[in-house]
Amino acid sequence: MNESLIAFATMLTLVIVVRMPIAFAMGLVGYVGFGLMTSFDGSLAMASIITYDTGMNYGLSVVPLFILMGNFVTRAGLSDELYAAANAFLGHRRGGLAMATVVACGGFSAVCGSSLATAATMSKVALPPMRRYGYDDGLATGSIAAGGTLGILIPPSVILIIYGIMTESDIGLLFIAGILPGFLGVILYLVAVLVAVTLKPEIGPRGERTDWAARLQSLWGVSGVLGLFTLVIGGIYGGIFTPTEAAGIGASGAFFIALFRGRLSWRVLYETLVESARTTGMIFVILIGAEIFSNYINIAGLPDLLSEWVVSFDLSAIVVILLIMAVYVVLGTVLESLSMIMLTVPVFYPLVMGLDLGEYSMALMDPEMALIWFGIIVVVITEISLITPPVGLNVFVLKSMLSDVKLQTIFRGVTPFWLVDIVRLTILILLPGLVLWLPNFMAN
Amino acid sequence: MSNEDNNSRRLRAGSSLGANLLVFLQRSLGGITAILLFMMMILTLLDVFGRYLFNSPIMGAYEITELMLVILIFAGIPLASANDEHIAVDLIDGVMPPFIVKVRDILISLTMSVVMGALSISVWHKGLEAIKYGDQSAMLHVPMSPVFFIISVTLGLAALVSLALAWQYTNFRVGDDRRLKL
Repeated sequence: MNESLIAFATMLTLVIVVRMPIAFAMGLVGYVGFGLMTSFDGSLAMASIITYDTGMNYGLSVVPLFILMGNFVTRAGLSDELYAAANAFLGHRRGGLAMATVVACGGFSAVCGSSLATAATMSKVALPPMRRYGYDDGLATGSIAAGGTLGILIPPSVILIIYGIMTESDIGLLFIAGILPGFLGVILYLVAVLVAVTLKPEIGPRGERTDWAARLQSLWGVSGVLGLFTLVIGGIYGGIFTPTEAAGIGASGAFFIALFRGRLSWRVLYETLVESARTTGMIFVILIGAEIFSNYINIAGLPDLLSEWVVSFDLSAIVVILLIMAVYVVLGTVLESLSMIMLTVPVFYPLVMGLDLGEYSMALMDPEMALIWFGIIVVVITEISLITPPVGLNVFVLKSMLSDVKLQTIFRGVTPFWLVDIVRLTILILLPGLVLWLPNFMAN
Repeated sequence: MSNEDNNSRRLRAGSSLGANLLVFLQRSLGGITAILLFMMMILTLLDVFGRYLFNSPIMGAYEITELMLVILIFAGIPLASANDEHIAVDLIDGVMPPFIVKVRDILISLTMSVVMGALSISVWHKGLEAIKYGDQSAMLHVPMSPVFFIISVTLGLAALVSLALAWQYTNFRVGDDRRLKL
């Protein structure tokens, strides 16, 4: 029973110490482990079956199409209008430009499924005005780094798609479940800005006030984003399209928006498509590696071992969830978001499925819904890891855009946002019904 | 900068045929993936429109998408390898002696090459089996063997790319770009 634990430790060593790409570390360890248990010929056959089976699955075309949608949206320059509109309403307040940044990040997340892309795109738009108005570097960068994390929670979300694939959960339900926690995230980030500028008014001076005519006009600019989100997520919620179809429609919509705005030359179109294909290839290599690995640890009995521990220590379901969260916090300090989901979900989801979460909360009686809730809190904790030192990737995105700002300054600026993130995580763990409210409407 | 120039010049001079081949392959794969992904997007759009507006979904769209997806994914893999896009955790690079980083990168690229190569051969055999048993797709009766051969070839190309990277890393200096230089 111990060998699966040794395998897990070996795999982590390969990833963290040897810098082997995580897909290959998982695949190799899975192959060797399975080979030792059966035969190496059989193990190679298993690996190759997983390789081509993973590729031939209609439902997975949701991955490249949502990636493509995000890339078209990024090229379309929608971020400018989002920021302009948010700024028209909030800019005149103390800390208003940072608030506008948070709201614009939330809006961008509603059409883009990647946190890094959201942070990178918004920083180009939101940083120059904040610097012009003399905003503190910490607040300016912190609001973008934190706001960007919403990209993987507010649907569409590539991470939620991956979670759905790995746990065979309904991607539509996962998307819908991400809406309220994402909205809560925006609200709490606004509170964080408000508290920060109340404590130190000099870090976020007021911007110019915009009159109502200009405000209403600025809303026109975000109609593209709003329309695309309503079409894609509304279509999924209303059961009009499957997530895969919604992905195709979303990508097409983003393509036409970029085209009509004159942002697509042949060259840009080609680059956007190839970039999306490369990302797709990269994600599938990890998916294949993760499948090979999880195939092995399941046969070696890691999920059973974990379940036995739960029984032998007589742990209640919610304590197990909290322990899993603790593991995520530790791993989150060194792993980036995709790796974290891929490494841990195969291990934890069988365990979570076996827990009697119904005794913790009525909302979690249905095991399918319990997995949706678990997916959302895993994504929220992954968001937190994106702004946690030492390897907060979103912080590094900001750092790479601003060579004159110290890393410590950004981490300091992110702190109020990090704190409200912990509040949000606590709320979502205490109130599973909040996460599952919209999905339950959709399922009925 | 001059290191990089030297590196790429050496790589070119050392194996200009190989480098030209890689450039050609990268462009062709890029073109193929771009066209496939665009078609996949449009096909999904038309399929949904067809279903709702004209009550006639595109016949076999499901299966065409599946076939396009598999080619798209596997053609994307060597491109991702050449761009050094496989996610790895850069945690202790800063504290490692450059020599060890170099040796490690070469060994890892070689390992990746072997893994891809072994899978490529294994999937090729699956393709031969598919010919023998005449495997076809369910709806459109497309023979399956070419799909396996395409997967095998792209995995083989990914193995080649990693091999070329291992060669490139023999001239690796700290701070160099890890992408394949062409």
